[in-house]
Amino acid sequence: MDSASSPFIESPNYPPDEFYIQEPSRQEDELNVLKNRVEYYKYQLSQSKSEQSLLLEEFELEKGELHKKLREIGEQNDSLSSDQRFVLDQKSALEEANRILRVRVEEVEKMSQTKAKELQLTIAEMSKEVSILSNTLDDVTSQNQEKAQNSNRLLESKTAEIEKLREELRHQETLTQRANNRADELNQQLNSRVNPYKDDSDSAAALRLLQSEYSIQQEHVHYLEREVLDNERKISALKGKRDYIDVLKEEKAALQRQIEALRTTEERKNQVERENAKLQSKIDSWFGIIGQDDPTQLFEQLKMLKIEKELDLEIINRLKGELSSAQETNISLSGDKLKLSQKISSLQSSITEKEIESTVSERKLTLARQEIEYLKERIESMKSEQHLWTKRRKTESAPENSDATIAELNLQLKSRESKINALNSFNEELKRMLDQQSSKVDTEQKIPDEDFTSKNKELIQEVQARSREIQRLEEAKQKLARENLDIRSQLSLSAAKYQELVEKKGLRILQLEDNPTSQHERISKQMLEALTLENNELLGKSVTSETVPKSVYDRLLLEQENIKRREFEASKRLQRLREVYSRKTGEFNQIIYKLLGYKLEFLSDTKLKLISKFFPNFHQVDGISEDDYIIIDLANLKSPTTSAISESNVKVGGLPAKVVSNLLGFWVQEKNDISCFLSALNLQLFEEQENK
Amino acid sequence: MDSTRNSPNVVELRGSSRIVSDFFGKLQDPMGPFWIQSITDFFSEYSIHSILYQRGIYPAEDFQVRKKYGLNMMVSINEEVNAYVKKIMSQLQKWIKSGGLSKLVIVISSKDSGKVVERWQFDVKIAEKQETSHDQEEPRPKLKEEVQREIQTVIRQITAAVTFLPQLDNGDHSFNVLVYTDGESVVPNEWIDSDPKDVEGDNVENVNFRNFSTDKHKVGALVSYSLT
Repeated sequence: MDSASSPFIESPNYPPDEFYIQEPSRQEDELNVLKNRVEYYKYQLSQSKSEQSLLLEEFELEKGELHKKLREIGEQNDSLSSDQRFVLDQKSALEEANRILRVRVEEVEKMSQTKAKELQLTIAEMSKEVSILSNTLDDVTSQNQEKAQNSNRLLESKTAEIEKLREELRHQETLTQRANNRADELNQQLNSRVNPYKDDSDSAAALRLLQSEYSIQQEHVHYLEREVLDNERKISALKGKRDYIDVLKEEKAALQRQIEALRTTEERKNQVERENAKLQSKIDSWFGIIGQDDPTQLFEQLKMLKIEKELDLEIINRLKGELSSAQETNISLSGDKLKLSQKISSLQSSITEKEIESTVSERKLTLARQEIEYLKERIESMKSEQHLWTKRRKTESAPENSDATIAELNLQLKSRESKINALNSFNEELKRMLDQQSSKVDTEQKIPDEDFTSKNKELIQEVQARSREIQRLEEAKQKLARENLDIRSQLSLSAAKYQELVEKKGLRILQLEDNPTSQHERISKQMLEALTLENNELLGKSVTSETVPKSVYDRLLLEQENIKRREFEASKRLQRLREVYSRKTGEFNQIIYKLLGYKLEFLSDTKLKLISKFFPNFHQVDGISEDDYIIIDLANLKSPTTSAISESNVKVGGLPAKVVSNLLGFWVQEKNDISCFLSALNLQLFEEQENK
Repeated sequence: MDSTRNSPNVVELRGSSRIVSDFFGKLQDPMGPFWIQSITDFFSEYSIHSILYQRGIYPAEDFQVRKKYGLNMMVSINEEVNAYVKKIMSQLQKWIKSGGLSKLVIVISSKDSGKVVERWQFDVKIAEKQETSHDQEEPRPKLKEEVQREIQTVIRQITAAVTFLPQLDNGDHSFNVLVYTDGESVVPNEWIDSDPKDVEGDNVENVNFRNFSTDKHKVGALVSYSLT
């Protein structure tokens, strides 16, 4: 092979011109060399074939990997789209939740406003009640003090009287003692005097004198004893009055408890006032800071602004969340993009390698072609040489063997040419496939960028769709407005026709311009207009704009007015309910009095005072006597009836105590029935009155 | 109506206290003759207040019981309603006197939709004067008690109508009063023209009530409502 002449050999030795006129053995050698070369080329061709098959396998592998990657990218795309859908769903759900929250916030705001109003009302009512109660407390305290002073004075006077009577009694006892002593002395004197003069007649007169003196002394003693008895009676009466003082003391204790309750109420009022003062100071401080005229309005405005601020903050937080999620998605997408770009670069490098390899193979192919051309030329030359040889051999001998060899060589050459053509076509196909692959890679390289912006595009599309929807709605609204106008015009026409008809008939239908329905319609219309304006301004407002449209405040002011009106109506209704309640309770008391004959007075929560209309002093101008009433302990009403009403609870001056105690004993203690006792008492009092 | 001012018609009210009042002589009285007072009383205290109470247009605590002419009437204590009714009645008296009033309609409409749900119509017709021959006696003027008894009957029917009328939710409805007058009546500025505000729909029912009449007028009542 080293000696073989070839353009692929560094320095080919072309045969000299004498070659063609060489010996046939040398020519045979040359042919052998050429055969060897053909063999070598065959080997090289087979090598290139095997290399091509290897390349094909590698290409297939690469292709499979690329398909796999494509699938993965498709899956990633799917997952991204599903994520986007999920994000959109979440966004819609969040918007819904936001709307619900807004509604709730509005409700809570309304509730808080109503509660605030209720509290203010309650505070006002409580302050009124407290003032009334404090006045009552003062009155009751002064009355109690007066009563207590009176009772103390009475007690003191009675005690002094008792003491005086006791002293008098003691004095009378000493006098009696003295008188007894004197009587004894006189008896002794009489005896001493009578004994010496027993038989004397003068002594009889003295005896009579002494007896009369003795009788006088005895009468005096009897008089003194009567006085003692009178004093004892007086003392017992005073004891009875002491019982009355005990009742008064009980009343005083009950009143003191009421006073305590009033004090606690007053303390509570003071506490509320202190809180109110604190709030007022706060309001004043705000008022001082901002310098508004109406602090309550300012406070409400601030409250509304706070709520709006909170809502705005919520929206901002939500948007921030969305932004952060979008950023995260962006980061993950950019990571994916980076990975994909890396893959693409690696693929590109592999493609370039393949391209290099293909160029090498192409070069090899061109070289092989050139060699083939060269070999063809050689074959042609050999043919010509052979032709010359045949010419020679025609002349010399017939060269059948060499012709056969040449034919065989020709056949081989043709087959080789066909193989080369097939290889060329295969190479073309390979090139085409490579181009396709590179185009695919280019498209794949483009995909991530598109994917990266697809969300924005979708959002833009959504915005566009929304704007289209808004446009459509706007058109529909305009259409409806036109229809409305048409209907109104028709209505006005029909109203005019109707009016004409009415005028023809001579009838007019009239209504007051300011009527309840028109008032309500006016309010509704105002609110509707305010809401429409607010809606338009909010739709026109950009997302980034931080200012709140004026129409929102206008609408809120209208709502506030409505709420105030409703509140006023509610307070009026409450007032009416109170009036109805007090009227009905009064009526109830009146009915009870008329039906059962007893007037009810609540002394405390647990004590009820019953005054019968048959009490002797009931119709007097000065009122009921202190003795004419029945106290019922309501706390013990459920327990044994006897503890609810006892003899000490019944003070009926007009009836003998024995009668009352008998009635009590029978009806309350024995039969355990207060109602029967009350009826029996009324009957007894009635009979007493009739008898009088 | 000036021609009727010197009419010899006399209302003779028999009873413990004999009251004789000239129909038209008493027109100078601010309260008006008894038949005008009866009709305005019927419209204001009997019909409007009763309907507002019975149909729950205003809460029950806005009404007080007032015994009048032998009936316990529910009369509103809502100042706005009373001012509105008073304004209508003061004008109504003038229209009754002038004979210009032909109908009074109480329209109950939904606050939400503005749809008319009930329409209480009271037709006021001037009673035709009966021709009497010379030998016939003049017909006896109607007694106040008779008129009131008839009014009581109508008002009892109105009260009983609640049983068959559809339930109205409390506080969801408002009312309006329409007055039908003739074209010649003097209309103050605060009164405006209105449409008849009929009850619309497929299932509209009309129920007539009994009439009552004075010597001068005959008043009939009708309620229209929708069966939805």
